[in-house]
Amino acid sequence: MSQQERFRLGGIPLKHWAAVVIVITLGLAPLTLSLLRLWAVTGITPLGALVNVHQHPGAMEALRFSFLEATASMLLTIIIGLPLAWAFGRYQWKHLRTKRALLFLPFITPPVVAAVGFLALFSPDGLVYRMGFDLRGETGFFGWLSSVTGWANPGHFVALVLAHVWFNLSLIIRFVEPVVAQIDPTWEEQLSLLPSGQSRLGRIQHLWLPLLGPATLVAATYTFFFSFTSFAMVKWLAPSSNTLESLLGEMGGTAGIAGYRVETSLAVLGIATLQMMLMLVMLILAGRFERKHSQVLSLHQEIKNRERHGPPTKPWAWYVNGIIVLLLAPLVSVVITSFRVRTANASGAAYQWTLEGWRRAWTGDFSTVPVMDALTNSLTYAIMTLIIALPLGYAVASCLVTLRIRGHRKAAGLLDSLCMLPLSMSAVMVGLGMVVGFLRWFPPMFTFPYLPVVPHIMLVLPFVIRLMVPAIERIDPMYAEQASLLPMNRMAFWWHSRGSFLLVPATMAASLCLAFSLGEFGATFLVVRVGSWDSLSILVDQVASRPKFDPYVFPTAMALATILMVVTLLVLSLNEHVRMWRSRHDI
Amino acid sequence: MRGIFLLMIMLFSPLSGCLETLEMPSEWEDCPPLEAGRASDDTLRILTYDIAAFSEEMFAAFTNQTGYGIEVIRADDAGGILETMLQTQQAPQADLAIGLDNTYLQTAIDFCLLQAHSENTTAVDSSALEPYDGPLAVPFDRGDVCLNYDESVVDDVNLTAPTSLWNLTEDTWKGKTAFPSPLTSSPGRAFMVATIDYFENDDDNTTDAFDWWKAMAENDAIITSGWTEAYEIHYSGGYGEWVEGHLGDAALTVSYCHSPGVEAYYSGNWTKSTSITLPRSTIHQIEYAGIVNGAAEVEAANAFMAYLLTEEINRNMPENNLMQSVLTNASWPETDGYRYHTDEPILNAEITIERIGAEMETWLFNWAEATV
Amino acid sequence: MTFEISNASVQLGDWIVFKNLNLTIQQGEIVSILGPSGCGKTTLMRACCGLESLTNGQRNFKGASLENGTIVPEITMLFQQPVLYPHLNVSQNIALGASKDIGKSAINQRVDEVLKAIGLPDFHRRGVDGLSGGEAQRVAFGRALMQEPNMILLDEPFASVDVKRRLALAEMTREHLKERGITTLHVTHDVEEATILADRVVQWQDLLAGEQGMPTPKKEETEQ
Repeated sequence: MSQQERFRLGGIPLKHWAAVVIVITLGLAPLTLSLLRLWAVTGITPLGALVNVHQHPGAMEALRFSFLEATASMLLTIIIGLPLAWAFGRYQWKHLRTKRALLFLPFITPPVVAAVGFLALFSPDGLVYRMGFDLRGETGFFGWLSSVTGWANPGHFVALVLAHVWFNLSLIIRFVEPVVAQIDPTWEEQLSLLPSGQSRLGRIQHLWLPLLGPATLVAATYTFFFSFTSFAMVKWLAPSSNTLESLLGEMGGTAGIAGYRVETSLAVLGIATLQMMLMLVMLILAGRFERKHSQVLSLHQEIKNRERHGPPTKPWAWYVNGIIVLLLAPLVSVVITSFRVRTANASGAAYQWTLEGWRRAWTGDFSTVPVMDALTNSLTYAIMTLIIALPLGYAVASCLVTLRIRGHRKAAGLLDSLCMLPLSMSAVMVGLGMVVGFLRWFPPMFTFPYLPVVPHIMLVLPFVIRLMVPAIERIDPMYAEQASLLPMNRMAFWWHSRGSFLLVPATMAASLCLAFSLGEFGATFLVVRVGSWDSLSILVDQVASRPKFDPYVFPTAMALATILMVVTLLVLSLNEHVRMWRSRHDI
Repeated sequence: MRGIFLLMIMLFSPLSGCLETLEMPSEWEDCPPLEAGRASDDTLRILTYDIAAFSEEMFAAFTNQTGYGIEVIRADDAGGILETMLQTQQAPQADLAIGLDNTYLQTAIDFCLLQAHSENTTAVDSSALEPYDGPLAVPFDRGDVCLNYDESVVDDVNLTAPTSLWNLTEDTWKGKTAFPSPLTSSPGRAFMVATIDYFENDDDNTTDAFDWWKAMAENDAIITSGWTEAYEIHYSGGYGEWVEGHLGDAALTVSYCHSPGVEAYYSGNWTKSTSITLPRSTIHQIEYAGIVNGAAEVEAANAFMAYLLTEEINRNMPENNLMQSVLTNASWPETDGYRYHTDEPILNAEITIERIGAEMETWLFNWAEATV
Repeated sequence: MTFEISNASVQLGDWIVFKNLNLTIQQGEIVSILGPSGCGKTTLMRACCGLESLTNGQRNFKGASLENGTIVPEITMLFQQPVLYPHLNVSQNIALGASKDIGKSAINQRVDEVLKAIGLPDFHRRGVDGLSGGEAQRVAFGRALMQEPNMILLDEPFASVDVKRRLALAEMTREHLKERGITTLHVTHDVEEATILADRVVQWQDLLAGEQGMPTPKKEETEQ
C-alpha cells in the first residue's frame, strides 16, 4: 500500500473523514441531547409528542401560517429576484463589487435592525405609507380587504412577506447570478440563429429555464425554508401571528427542566420534531436540486462575458438600481433614526437631530459593553468561524464529491442530509442541547469566551458545503492527473489541481462565514451568557429591547446597528475585491 | 422519502437507551448545598436581566472597594433568570441571581436554587420584607403592577375608566386592551396573580379570574408575549407613540403604577397615561437578589448584596432603574412630575409567595386554556 | 530495452479494452501506434504511465518491474487536450516541470531555453487562455521537456492543431526527443504524423496480434 493510500479510507483522506465526523457531531449532538432531555422530562417520545402536537394551542395555526407566508415569500422572491439575478449577472455594471455587497447586505442584517427599518417605512412618515399603503395600521385598502374577506391582519401579512423577500433576494443572486455570469455566450448566440431561439420566449424556454432552473429551485427552496423558520421578523411585523419557530422561541426558555412547566417541554418536543421533519424534507429537496445545479457545464470567464454583453439597457439599469435603492431603504431609515431623538411634551412631540445616540453607543452608557469591545468580539467570532468552518466545509464537500464519483450516491446523499441537519433545527433546540451537553460533560464551557463560535460554525457550515460541492465537481479531473505526472510536493499538487480553482467559491464562502457570523443573533443569544462577550448584534438587540421611556435608547440602538451594517459592508466589499481579481484567472 | 424515514428512525431509535434519570430538586426534603460548577477566581458572576441601574461605573466602584471583579450572565427577564438557574443547577455557573420577583421566588426556593446570605436587612423597609423575610433572598427594588390607561381616549366620552375589571369585558372595550402573557412576561404574570385575588374577593362567588380572562379573550383582548410589545406597540398612552411600528390600538395595558410618573419624567412633566388602582387589581412586585446554591464566590455575593442596599446605589433606583428603592423612607423623585404622576395603590392583592409557588403551574395552565 | 509492457490487459466494467498486449520500446526509440478513435490507445497510454491500472500484465522500466497503477517520475505524458493551469502564465506552467532541487534562477534560465526550443521565445508572461491549440500543446510539451523525463507518452498531441502546423510540430517534436534521447510512445490516427515522428510504427490491430511494427524510413536516411 502506498503512503498516500495508508491514510485514506475508500479513497478519501482520513482527515476528510475526521471533518465529516466533526460536522455531523456538531449537528447531531445538540439535537440528540435536547431530544433526550425533553424525552426524559416529559416521559414521551419525540414521535409520540409529534402525534399529539395538534393539541397544543396555536400549533396548527402556526403551521398553517408558516406555510402560507413561506409560500408567498418564495413566489414573490422568485418573481422579483430572477430577473434581477439575470440582469445583474449578464451585464457590465459600474461598481459591480459594491452593488453585489449591497445586494447581499440584507441577508446578514440582524432581524431587529431590519424590522425597525421596515417599521419606519410603514409608519405614517414612511415611504410605503405615503404610497398609499397602510400596512401597519391597516386602514385604507388593507382595512377594506380585511373587512370584505374576514382575513385578520392582511397588512401585517404583506409586510412580513415583503420583509422576507428583502432578506432572501440575496439568495437568488448568490445562486443564480454566478451561473448567468459564467455561461458561454456562444450558446445564446447559437440558439438565436435557430428557429426555436428567434423569440424571447423561445430563448427563455430553451436556454434560460434549463440553465437557471436548478439554481433557481435551490434558491427558492432555501427562501421557503428561511421564511418558514422566521422568528424575529414575525414578532415585529406580524405580532398577532406565529410561525412554528416563533412559537418555539416563546416557550423555549422553560423547556427541558425536570418538574417545571412540563407541558411546555411537551409542546416544544412535539413542535420541534414537526418542524425538524419538515425542514429535513425541504433540505433534502434542496440538496437534490443543487446536485442538478452542479452539472452546469462550460463555464466561462465572468469578466469576458460581461464585456461581451456590455452595459445594461436602460430598463434593466432602472430595475436593478431601483431594487438596490429599495433594499437599502430600511437600512437608510435605521441610519437616519440614529441621529434623531424625539422630545414629547404637553404641546406635542418633535424630532431633533443629535449625536447623543452615537456618543452613548460609543461609550456604552447603558450598562453594556462599549461598542469597540462588542465589535472586537464580533470580529473575533467571525474570524474564528471563518478559520474553522472554511476548511471543515471544504473537507466535507470534498468527501461528498468523492463518494459520488466513486458511485456511492446513497451514502453521499445520507451524508449530505446529515450535514444539513443544523439548518433544520430550531435555535431553541440548539441552545438547549448545548447547555445540556456542556453541563453534563464540561461545565466550564458554559462560560467559555469563544462558545458563540460553535453555533456560528454549525449554522454556516451547510452553506459552505453547498458552495464548495458544485465548485469541486466543476473542476476538470485532468488537472489532477496532469499534476500527478509533474514533480510537485503534496501542497503544490493540491493547489494546482484543486485549490486555485476554488479560490472564488472559497472567497464567497469566506464572505458568507464572516458576514453571517457578524450578523448572527438567535443562536448567539442563547449561548452568549457573559455580558462582556456580547457581539455587536446582541448589543443592538439588547439596547433596542429596552423600555424606551428615555428617548435616547432608540437612537443609541440604531447607532450601534449602523456600525454593524458598515462593518459588514466593508467585509463583504473586501471579499468581492478578491473574488473579482481572481475571476480574471478562472476557467 | 425512504431515506427521510430511515434518517428519522436512525435519529430516534437508539436514543431510548440513553435517557437520563432526572432528579427532581422540588422533591428533595432538605436543600443540600450544591457543588460549585466552577473554580473560585475572585470574579463575581451575577445572573440578571438587563438592569439599567447596573452601569460600568457602579461595577467599577464595587471592584475598587472589594477587589472582586464582576461578570454579568445575562437572562431575558425574571423568568429567564429562574430558567437559567434551573437548567444549570447541576453545575451552577452564577454566584448571585438578581431580578427574581415575588412570583418566581418560591419556585426558586422549592427547587433549592438559593443558599442563605449573611446580610442584615435593617435598612430595608418592612413592606418590602412582607412577602419574604427569610435568609435566602434580599429585596433590592420594587414597584406596584397596575393597569394604565390613556386619558386622551378614556375621556368619559369615548370610553369611561373602569370601576370594575368586568367593565373591560363590555363592548366599548372590545379590542382595546393589551395584556402581556403570564406565560412569558413577569409583569403579566404578576397581574394574573392579582386577578386571582381580585376575583376571589369580589362579590360574585360564581366566577373566578379565569372566567374573566376567558371573557377578555372573547372581547378581543390583545395578548402579547412581553410587556414591551404591549406597552410600546399597542398602548396608545405611552412613549410607544413615537416608536416605529406603533399601533396604538389599546387604550389600556398592564404596567406599573409609577409608569405615568416615568413618562412625565422623560417628557418634561407631561403624560397622558394614568393608572387604575382598583383594590386588589394591583400587586406589589418586589425583585430580589439571592446567592445561588453552589456559588463559587459566596463572599463576593454577600458583598454585592450589601452594596446593592447602600444609600448611594439603592436610593437612586427610581432614576437609574425606574423602580422604587427598598430602603426605609423611600420616595419617588419630585423632578418633572415623577411623583406627581405616580399613583399609589389602594389595596394590593394579597397572595403569599408560598401559594404562588404551589399553584402557579395550575394557574398558568388554566390561563392558557381560558385565553385560547 | 527501456520500457516493456507484457501480457497486459485492461478491462473497464464489461468492456475489455485490450488483452494480452505486449510492447517493447528501446532506449531513445520513438514508437507510434496507429489506430482509429476509441480503440483503446489512450487507455494503453494511461496504463503505461500508471494513471490506469492493468487488469493483468506487467510493466518493466529500465530493467525493474513497476508496481501496477503507480506513477514514476521518469515517465510523463502529454494529453490530447493540453492541460495548462489557467491561474499560471506560460513560463509558470513550464516551470511546473522543473525538479524541486533546482534553484529559482536555474529554473528561469531553463524556462527561457525551453521557450526558445519550442518556438515561443516571447511568451513568458502570456496567459494560457489566449493561446491557440498549437501554442498550448507546445507549452505542454515544453513543460514535459523541463521534466527531463526518461520516457514520454504522447496521446494524439496534435489533434487540436491544423494539418499544416501539425506536421511541422511533429518534426519539431522528433528533433527535440532525439536530441535528448527520450524514449517515446506516441499514439495517433494520422499516418503522416506517425511517419514523421516515429522510428517505428505499429498498427493497433497488429499490436493486439502480437506484432511490434515496422521501422519508418526517415528523410535523413533516404538522403543518405
